[in-house]
Amino acid sequence: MKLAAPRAAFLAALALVAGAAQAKVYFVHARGAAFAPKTVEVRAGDTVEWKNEDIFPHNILARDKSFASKKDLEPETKFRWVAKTKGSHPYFCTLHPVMTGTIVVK
Amino acid sequence: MGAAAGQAGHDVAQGASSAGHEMAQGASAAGSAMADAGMQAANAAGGAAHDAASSASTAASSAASDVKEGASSAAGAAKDAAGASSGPTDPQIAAIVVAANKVDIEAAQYAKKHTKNAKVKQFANLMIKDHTSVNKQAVALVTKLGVTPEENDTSKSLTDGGKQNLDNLKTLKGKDFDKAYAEHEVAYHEQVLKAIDDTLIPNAKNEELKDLITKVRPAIQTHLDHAKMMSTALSGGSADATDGMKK
Repeated sequence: MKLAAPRAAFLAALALVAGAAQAKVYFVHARGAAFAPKTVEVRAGDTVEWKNEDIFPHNILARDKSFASKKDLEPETKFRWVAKTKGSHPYFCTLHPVMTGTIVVK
Repeated sequence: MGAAAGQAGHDVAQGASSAGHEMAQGASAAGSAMADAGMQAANAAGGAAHDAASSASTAASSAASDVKEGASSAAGAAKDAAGASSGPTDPQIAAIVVAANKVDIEAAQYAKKHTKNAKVKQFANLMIKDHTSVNKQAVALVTKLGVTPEENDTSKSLTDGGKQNLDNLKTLKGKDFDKAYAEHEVAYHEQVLKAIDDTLIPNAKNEELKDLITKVRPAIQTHLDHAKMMSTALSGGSADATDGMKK
């Protein structure tokens, strides 16, 4: 019994490490006044990174408010969001509303 | 654009190593943008109709028409000048780019101050933001390249057209002012887009300058789409230029 607790803790830690190791980063490019890829499928815990590759500012706002870049992304800057809530999260650039995309969290 | 480096945003997370990260490749960004623009236009409902002018006086309509013609005339002269046998040189193109941005920034600053329409003000703010950003990078590039912008008939025509537009806007108020501003923005962006495609990109010799102009193009296209929707709404149509911003 004395060994059971440390073993369980070890296994739990191992699972945690394994889970963390599996988390991935997905990249979305704001380029040519469009988001590419337009739709990205991720798992909860994964990170999505947007980079503004245009020469004018953009921003990111999920229609369900699940994520938002609090300020405009100047050219060559990035915004990261760790996916949490499962579901489909459409988003857009409030400066250029024709720029839309969707993050699907599974 | 190396000049863009260092303009870090406040809530920007710096990228970790990309090794091992997945990067899905997207379809043509420009194509997507155009498709989106079309969908936006198709889906736009009449939210802005209440902002539109229900009627415009003959005089105001005439003035608005003058503004539009002024923009077309200036841009047309620009095209003619730039389209001369040998085409503009890189220093001349640099001056054209700077003048084109400056003209629209000045119009937007005036519109922002004098319009009472929230959507027109929002559009003007976007013009200031985008064109200022583009000009900043254009200036950084020519500085890096050691190119001194060279005034020419095209840049002068753009500047003169901008002044003519401002002079006309100063005679207008209210809905007539908004309509004139919107119509000029449509004409202006159409002509700039044409100049980019027909003159600036084909004649730019330096690859970085050509790349800068190529990167400007999508912004001009979205501005044109936005201006058209705004103009339609102000004329009593049903398009809502900021439909996408509704949450």
